[in-house]
Amino acid sequence: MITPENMLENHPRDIKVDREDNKKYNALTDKFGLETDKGVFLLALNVGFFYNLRVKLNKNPKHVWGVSTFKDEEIKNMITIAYAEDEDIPKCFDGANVIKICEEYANGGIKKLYSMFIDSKNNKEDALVIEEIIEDLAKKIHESSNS
Amino acid sequence: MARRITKLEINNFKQYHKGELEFEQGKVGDLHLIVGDNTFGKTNLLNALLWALYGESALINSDDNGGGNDIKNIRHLKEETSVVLNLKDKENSEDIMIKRTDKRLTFIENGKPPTKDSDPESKIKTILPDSVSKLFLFKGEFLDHFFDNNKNDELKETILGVSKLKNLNRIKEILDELETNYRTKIQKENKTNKEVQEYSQDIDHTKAGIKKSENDLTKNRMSKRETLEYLEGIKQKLAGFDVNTINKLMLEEAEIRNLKEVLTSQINSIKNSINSLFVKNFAHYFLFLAIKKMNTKVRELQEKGIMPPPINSLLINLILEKKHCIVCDRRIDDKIVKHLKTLEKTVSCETGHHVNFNNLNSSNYFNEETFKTDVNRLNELINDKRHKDISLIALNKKLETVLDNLRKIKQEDIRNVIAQKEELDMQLESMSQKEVQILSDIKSSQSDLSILDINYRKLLSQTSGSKIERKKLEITQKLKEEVGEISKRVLKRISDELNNNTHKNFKTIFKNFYKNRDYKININEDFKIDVLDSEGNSLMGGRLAGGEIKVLALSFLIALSEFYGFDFPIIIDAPFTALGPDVASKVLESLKELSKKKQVILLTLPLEKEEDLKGIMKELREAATTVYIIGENVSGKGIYRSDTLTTKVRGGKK
Repeated sequence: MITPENMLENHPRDIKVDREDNKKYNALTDKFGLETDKGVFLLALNVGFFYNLRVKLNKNPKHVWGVSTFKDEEIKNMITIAYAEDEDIPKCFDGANVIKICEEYANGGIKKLYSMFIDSKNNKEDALVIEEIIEDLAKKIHESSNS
Repeated sequence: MARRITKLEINNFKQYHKGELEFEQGKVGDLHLIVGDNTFGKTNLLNALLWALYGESALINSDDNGGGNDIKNIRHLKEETSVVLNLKDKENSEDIMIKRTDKRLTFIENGKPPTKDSDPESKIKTILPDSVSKLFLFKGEFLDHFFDNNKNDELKETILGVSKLKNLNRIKEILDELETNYRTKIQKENKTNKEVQEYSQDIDHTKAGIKKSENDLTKNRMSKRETLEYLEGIKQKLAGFDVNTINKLMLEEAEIRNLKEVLTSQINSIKNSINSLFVKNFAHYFLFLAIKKMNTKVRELQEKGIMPPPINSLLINLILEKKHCIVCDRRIDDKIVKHLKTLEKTVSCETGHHVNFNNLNSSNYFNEETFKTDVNRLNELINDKRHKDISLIALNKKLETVLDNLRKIKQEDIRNVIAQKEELDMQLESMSQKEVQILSDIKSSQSDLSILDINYRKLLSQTSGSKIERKKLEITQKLKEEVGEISKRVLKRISDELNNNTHKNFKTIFKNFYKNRDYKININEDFKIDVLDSEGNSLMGGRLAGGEIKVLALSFLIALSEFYGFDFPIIIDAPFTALGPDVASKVLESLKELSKKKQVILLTLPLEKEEDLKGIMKELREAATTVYIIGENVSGKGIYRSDTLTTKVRGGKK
């Protein structure tokens, strides 16, 4: 049976976030009606990667989710991002490396999501923000497909 | 002669600190326009004119923000208030300046300074007495109610105020007093004659009864008028509100709130769907670029034969055997051979990496068809939400209007006002019944009196006493009858002349629109106005259209002013109130035609705001010689000439 443990070698036990971002995770979990904040982490990770927002964690981060609690598909998602970052196949199975890259992208992504959806300075409706993000996404997919 | 206003200068009156309006003579008509939104001060402009002519008692109630009852501008309470009115006739043979300040009224005719004995108020009366001013300066709605039943008292006052009828009535009263005196003397001479005594007493008693009834009638009419005025205020307050309207509004509010609730819940559900689609379906689409990169790499590896894994020992051994790379055919050195041997060992162990890596298939993350479907679904949801948002905004707007009206109802305590109105209506009805009763009593008493009179005269011819006194009494009675007859003839003449002139005006001034209509005005002895069609049928009681009433009332007013020889411009505040575009257009045509005969100054709302009346406003502006706008521009609030909009009309030069 394939488990995250045997997909990633030497991975840390937990995934960490900036301590002060805890409230951002809670707010966005509510906003998107998700059952757990793990979904927000994965969204933040993908958005952070998409907008190329890799931000190092502050000192004394908060340990939030155990890596073993992530599903196969979610681990694969993380490995893909790590590969895209390093372009080195053996390195993308290095658990410590993969989790570090993902934590940093999610760190950039959560700040972006928070400023887009929650921050009062941005008065746009959620649907409009989503529409804009998807437009960006579709544009990049289109460009990339044609290249 | 057609007297016209050439200039009106206002200083520190209500919201006008300084203003000067000049009205040049037009080439075709003498039509002028003053445009201002509600509460900007149109009525107070009319009030400035009325104040100049008659002082504070003549002011019209205004909703404009003019600073309460005080005529002074609220910001300049210490400054003097003055209004100067310049009047000239078309030939410039007459030049009048009327100036009223806080302290004095000045009337200057043809530049001659006033003498010590001159009385400016009397001079103004010769131009336009206060009692007839409403025939020249009025609110548009005055015309709408001109033929209402309750207006006959006002008309009576107006006609009596300026005609010989007033003098004739006074003569009648004097003759009546004389008659009583002579009868008293005769009564004294016939102390012993019981019948004479009784007749005298009966006559006095009946006369006193008639006098009392007439006083009651006057009082009743006064209270009726006061009630009517009060009722008018209530009607304005109630405009658009009755119990049905309130109930309808409340029902509407409940319906809108229900609809809003449904719509809001639908919008929330769409919002949730959008969020869910975004988080659940789109999240991994962001990996597209990474996946694409990964795919390219995997494809490259596949092409080189090293994908799919596992990279097996067979392949490594093959390379070791050939000593050349199977991809680039480069010779491999001992160092690489050493690494390959280590790799061969690792691969042989068959750890899970290679299998897992092979499982990183991009189609797990991105499929173009699914992506397109998801984007379409998202667009559908967003569009649906947008439509619902628009409906919600419309509903909110509608709700706001309904709530505004309901707030107004609450504020004004409309339910109580409606109850008050109903009570006043009943009071009015009772007053009208009382009036009919009093009139009938008076008529009956007058009939009794004439019988008593005849019998009394017969009796006197048979009694002794001074023949001179009897003769005097007889002559006085005959004179009284004669004066009564003359009054009737004068009233008939006035009525006939007014009827003919109204008819003539209607046919000439307003011929273009009402050529197929023919009306007659009839004024009866009680000064009741009746409008009749060509066959003599009464058109009172809602059988006249809004425009027809206005035009007919104007025809009548002009006839009345011509009859009494008062020459003054016609100034109408809000002439198009509550008129549809067709009727407004007819009224405008009529006013344009009228302006060829005399000066017409109109104070109107900015009709361009009303889609239907845009054309009329344009036409009106084109027809007007001067157009003033009460409004706001870079210099602040004030009156502006439309051709010099950037320059505020202040005291002194424009």
